[in-house]
Amino acid sequence: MNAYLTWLEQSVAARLAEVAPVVFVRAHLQWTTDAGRLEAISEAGCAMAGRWVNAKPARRDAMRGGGLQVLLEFERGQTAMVSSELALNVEPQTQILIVGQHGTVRFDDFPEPEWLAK
Amino acid sequence: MSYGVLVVTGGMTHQENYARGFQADPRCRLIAVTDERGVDARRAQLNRSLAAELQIPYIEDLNDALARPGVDLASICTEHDRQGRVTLRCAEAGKHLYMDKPLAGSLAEARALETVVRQKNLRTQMFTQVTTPFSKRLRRAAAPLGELRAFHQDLYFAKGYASADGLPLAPRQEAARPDLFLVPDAKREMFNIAVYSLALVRWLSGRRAFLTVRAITGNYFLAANARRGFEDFGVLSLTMEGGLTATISAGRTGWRSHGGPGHNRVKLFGTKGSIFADAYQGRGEICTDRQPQWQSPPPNPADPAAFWASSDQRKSGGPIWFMPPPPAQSDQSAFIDTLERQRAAEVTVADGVRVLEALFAAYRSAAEHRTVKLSEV
Repeated sequence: MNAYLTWLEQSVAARLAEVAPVVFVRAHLQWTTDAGRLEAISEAGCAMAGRWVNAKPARRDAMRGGGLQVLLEFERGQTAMVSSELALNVEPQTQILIVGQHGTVRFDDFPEPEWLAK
Repeated sequence: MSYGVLVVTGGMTHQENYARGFQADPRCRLIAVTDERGVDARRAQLNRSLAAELQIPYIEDLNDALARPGVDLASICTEHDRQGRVTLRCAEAGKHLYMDKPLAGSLAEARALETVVRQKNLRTQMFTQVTTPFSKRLRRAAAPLGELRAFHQDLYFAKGYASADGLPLAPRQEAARPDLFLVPDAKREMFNIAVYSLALVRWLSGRRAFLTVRAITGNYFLAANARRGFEDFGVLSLTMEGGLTATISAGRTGWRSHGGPGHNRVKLFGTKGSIFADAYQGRGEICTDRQPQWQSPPPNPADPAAFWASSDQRKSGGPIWFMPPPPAQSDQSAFIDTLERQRAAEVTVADGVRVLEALFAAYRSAAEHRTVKLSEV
């Protein structure tokens, strides 16, 4: 994927012990103006969410509208909603909300295009 | 004109707020607190307590109360498994209806209520968050986005005592047709919280219909909910009329999961653009070394002022928030406006029924692990 995704996954993962175990991940990944890239960003985002939850997905449902939305249910009942979205007329942006059994982690960012292109 | 308000069901419900909202409106006079005859001793005591606090009588039989002269409307906030039939009784008596959310614990009762309201030409309003400043801001922000294509909301209540040891994680087995939603120590939280998001997306989209729902429920935080078989969290993915999609996560996540009332974040996509909004972007914040939970990093004798990156600069704990003022007009006064101006409320009984249909479809989806069409419920 891109260098930003790697940075994002590792940076957020480093804070998850404070709220773990993770039970829900909401990710808005509004990074591209190219509709052809939504699928790949979605796949990468779902894989990242699975690693944050530390579980394998048991069910997956997807729908389109304002981007690509994927609802995941993991083996032990955790859930995730990963949205890969077009950045039309807005800056690229990231909104992450992670819910753990001991609290929440929120990360909102406007990644530099150079990071997304790396 | 002065409106006589009958308060149906009392303490330890949202009626504590609703009745006071009506009492604070100079156009209203509270008549009495009432309920069904034969409610259990706890409920009867809570009804009497609220009546005493409001300094109005308690009438033990709803039918007697409805027959009192001067009752124009009923403010109804009854346990959901009773609320459908109680509200129906008030509608049959010809009273305008201000109702707690969701409307009822039974779709059949809710649909019957919709019919009676239409036949008797009653004004109705279900309590939601659409009259809050945040919702109004969303509506203004949505206007330049063009036609709404997607709505996403995370809505949590940072209340309740999350289990200190963490509940064991396992897929939840949901009931396809739940019939109990509220007991003294637990609520079904998808039912009670996602209702706000469902009402909001209908309101923002000009009442577009829900078409399909996929939902998953969980028991992540609250031991009492797990014992009662009530979910404390739900995730919904919906398709709506006109190609609109909506995703919602809703739950009660524990006192210390947020600096304020709980995460409330919305993302909207239209044909011309998108916005992300946080309900608590507007807030006060206090940071002070008098807060015991707000810790400084340990001192470094070699860098006593912690000027340099090689010193530990990690703070822990967090600031204390305080919130902006409440809405300039209460939801209850907004309902009185609809009576005075002879116009429909922002969220009527018909809206409440459509939202309830989506919630029951969501339970069925969670129970059967599949997408459910609204036409199936």
